[in-house]
Amino acid sequence: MRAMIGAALEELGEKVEIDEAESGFAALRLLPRRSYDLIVTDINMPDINGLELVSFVKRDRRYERTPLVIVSTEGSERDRDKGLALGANAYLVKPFAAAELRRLVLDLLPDARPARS
Amino acid sequence: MTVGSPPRWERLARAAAAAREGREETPLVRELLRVEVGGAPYALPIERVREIVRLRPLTPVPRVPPLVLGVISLRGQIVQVLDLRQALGEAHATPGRRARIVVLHGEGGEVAGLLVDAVRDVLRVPEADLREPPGDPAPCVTALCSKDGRFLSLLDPDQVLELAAR
Amino acid sequence: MASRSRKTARDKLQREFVSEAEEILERMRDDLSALAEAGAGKGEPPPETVNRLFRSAHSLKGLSGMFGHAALSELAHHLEDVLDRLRLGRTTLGRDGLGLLDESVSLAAAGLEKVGRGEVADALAERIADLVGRIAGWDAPARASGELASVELPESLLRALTEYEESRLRDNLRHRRGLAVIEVELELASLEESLSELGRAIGEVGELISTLPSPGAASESRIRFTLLAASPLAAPELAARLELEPGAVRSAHAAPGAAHGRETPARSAEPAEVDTVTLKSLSETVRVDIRKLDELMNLVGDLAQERAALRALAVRLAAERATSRAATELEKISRGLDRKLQELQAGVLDVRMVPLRQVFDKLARVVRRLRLDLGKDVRLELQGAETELDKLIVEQLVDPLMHLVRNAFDHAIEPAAERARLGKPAEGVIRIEASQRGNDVAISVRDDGRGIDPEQVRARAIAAGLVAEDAGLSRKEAFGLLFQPGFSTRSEVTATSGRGVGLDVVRANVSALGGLIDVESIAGAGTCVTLTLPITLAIVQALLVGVGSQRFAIPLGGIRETLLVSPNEIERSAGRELLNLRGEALPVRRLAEEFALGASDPTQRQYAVVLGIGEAKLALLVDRLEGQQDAVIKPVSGPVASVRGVAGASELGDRSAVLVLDVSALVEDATRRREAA
Repeated sequence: MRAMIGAALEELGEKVEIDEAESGFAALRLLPRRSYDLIVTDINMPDINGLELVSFVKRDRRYERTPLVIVSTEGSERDRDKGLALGANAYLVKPFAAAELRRLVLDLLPDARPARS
Repeated sequence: MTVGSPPRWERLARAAAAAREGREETPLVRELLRVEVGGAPYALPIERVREIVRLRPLTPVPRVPPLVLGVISLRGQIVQVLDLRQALGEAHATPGRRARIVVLHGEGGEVAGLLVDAVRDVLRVPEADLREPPGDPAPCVTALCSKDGRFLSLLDPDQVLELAAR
Repeated sequence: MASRSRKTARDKLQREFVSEAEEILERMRDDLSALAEAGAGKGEPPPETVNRLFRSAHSLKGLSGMFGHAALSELAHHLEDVLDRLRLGRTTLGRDGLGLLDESVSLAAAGLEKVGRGEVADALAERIADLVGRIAGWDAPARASGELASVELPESLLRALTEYEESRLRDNLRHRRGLAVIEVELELASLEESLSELGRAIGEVGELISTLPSPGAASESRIRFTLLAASPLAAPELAARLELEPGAVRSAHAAPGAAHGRETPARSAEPAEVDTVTLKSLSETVRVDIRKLDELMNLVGDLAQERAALRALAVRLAAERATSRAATELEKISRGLDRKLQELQAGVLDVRMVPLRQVFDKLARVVRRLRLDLGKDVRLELQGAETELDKLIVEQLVDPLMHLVRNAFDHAIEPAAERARLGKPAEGVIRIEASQRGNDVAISVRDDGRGIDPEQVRARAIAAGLVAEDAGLSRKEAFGLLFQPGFSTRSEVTATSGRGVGLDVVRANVSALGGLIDVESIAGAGTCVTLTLPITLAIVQALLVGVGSQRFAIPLGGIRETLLVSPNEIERSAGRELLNLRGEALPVRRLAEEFALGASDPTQRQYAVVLGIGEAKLALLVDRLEGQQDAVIKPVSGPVASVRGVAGASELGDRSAVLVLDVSALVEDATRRREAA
């Protein structure tokens, strides 16, 4: 999944830099290191769940303004509602087309210089 | 190098979405494992590769096609090993020091190994660079691409495995 | 070309969808029965069952939606809603509710069957719409909620709980445990270890329900976490146990039983019931995840390998004088280990044994459905449900037994009018009996239907070109022909039996389990199919034999005895080799020939391994006997189908693979050929 998202975003061109984290904890470690313009996260993660990550990001002054996209399976409405209620900006349901993701990213970032976690 | 296969759920989902839209699934950049057989390079889709192991004692199995060299034990799991050389029509040769067994996932989830002369690296090839093999392609070759000034045939693991089943 | 492959891809997807959906519905059916038994409407339905039902409905919804079956998805969606309300305690079920759920599952199954046949489930759309309407209009009695209202949890924590965490939370509340909110600050670099350590410590005195990262850490290299834990300990005690400052642990909900506690009046009516529920769940049985059992089995198998290596080492050390005393010690220890391991093995195998009851239940359900679908009056008699077999074997038995039952129902039992004419009771009988016979279990499927006429079989065989016109066919041989692929005494394809799943498939299944299958029948009176299966597949003791440069393993269970024979002891008669064993004539097979391994030296003496299954016996000739070995027979993975005579393979101590012989196949082949001769 990460590879697919990475590949989709790379198509946006060389102005895109992508950082990948293989778990919620890894994301927590990456966040303070760079100033990210966009975060894309899965809901189902083995350590902290995606909702907890969203909650953390949106409550932390450093990251609360960073646009955040949640990705989950089957469009389960409960998770989506919770995620959006916690402050996520957008929601993608697997399976989604790469073009969909790209359009979303361009929408959220008028100046198309996304880095992602 | 170990790469897992995507969970069944995800595969079903992608395939369903693709089927709905009436197209085959097309990831944008393919990651291919480059191997050597009989002095020539070939490619295998990385998402089918479960792991790569060194040559280990092979137990021959009676009454099987010659393509099946035998079975090995992979941490307790017993796996058939096929001779990719033979599958590609090359003459049989004693495996050298660089020979490896590439362990693949079959379509139905079964696992099988392919004996190759050497494993080189993983290539990232844009989908657009994969061309139709010219003329009358050899069995199991689904596409052709070029790298480092040479042509590489991309092999379809399922077709290779099917060669053995015949 | 492209469209054809797309169509086959679509068909394949369809089949995968149908099979997954069927699994889900099967689970739901089981869970609904469990709910019905638990007396829905009185007291709480078991939470794990309801949760599972909810998840099943959810999966079904997603699955159907993704494959474009809108009506099914809609139905599942409404089911999910109801189950969600039930799960969150906002409603109770009652008999009506249960009836609605039952109906929904049946309707979904009907829809699925249509899909499986290539029709569209939407043909049932009207019925589904009607049912959906009824579910939506169902006036579910609301239940006094407020469990979560009485606890003081930080909003941020509550909002980020997954459904599983929520259910754990409620469950702990129901069991009257206190809730504590714990704030800690951890180093980012060692996050996983710290949390896992903390989780472990909490686990000793309660349950860690959720972990939420929070802003506000003192430095960039640290991060705050808010943990939600349930524990009977009061907050200060908990803090002490976890070695945290008292201020780090705050009580969100005091465990009732402490003199003060804010309980809503509704709860005080529940205590007695809750306690009994708790007590019951502490009963004698434990539910085990089959994956854990498999892991245990693997572990035991690996331990057995290590034990073998240890023994080999002891032998080597004993040979050298310098270490011989230590070697004797080692030998003694290794023998003690041996005994313990065997007990462990037996214990784990025992846990894997399950009664046939679950298969019998499924068969009973199948027959009930068939009665409705086909309108035939057939009674199913079951005996020996408590007979135990290895769980893996039992799981693999479902298919072959179902085929046999379906065949009997469909083909063997005559329609009522015919039965009346023949003077048979109107109700047909299918009787399944299971019993243990030593190391084997015998399962027989008997019916009082048409029976099989050997003459008819012969005629069909001649017509199909399987047998020459003038060839004589004994009864046994005729029945044996039934197992040929594609053979069927009825040429029609019926809806219930599909393409009349041949007995060849059933035999293949049974053979894969290391068993035998046998048919006996009297034309006009009935048929009896008997399966003989080994009790367990898992770890077997095997004899290692050598032929030429190769080694093979033969499960001891199939070996009667071994003896050294010289070439002149083998007699030849009518083109066959025989061995005279105390007056009994055994067919002889050379392993080297069976597997085309090259001829052995005809002047050398060889070992004869006498194999036996039931009454049938065979003397297998090999070059060497190489000792006993524990073997875990594993299937061989790969594109080539299994070879007849090879049951699987096992890993030896030196990490190489050795092929394990299929004794029943070898014996069967030898005795069959003998009869034909």
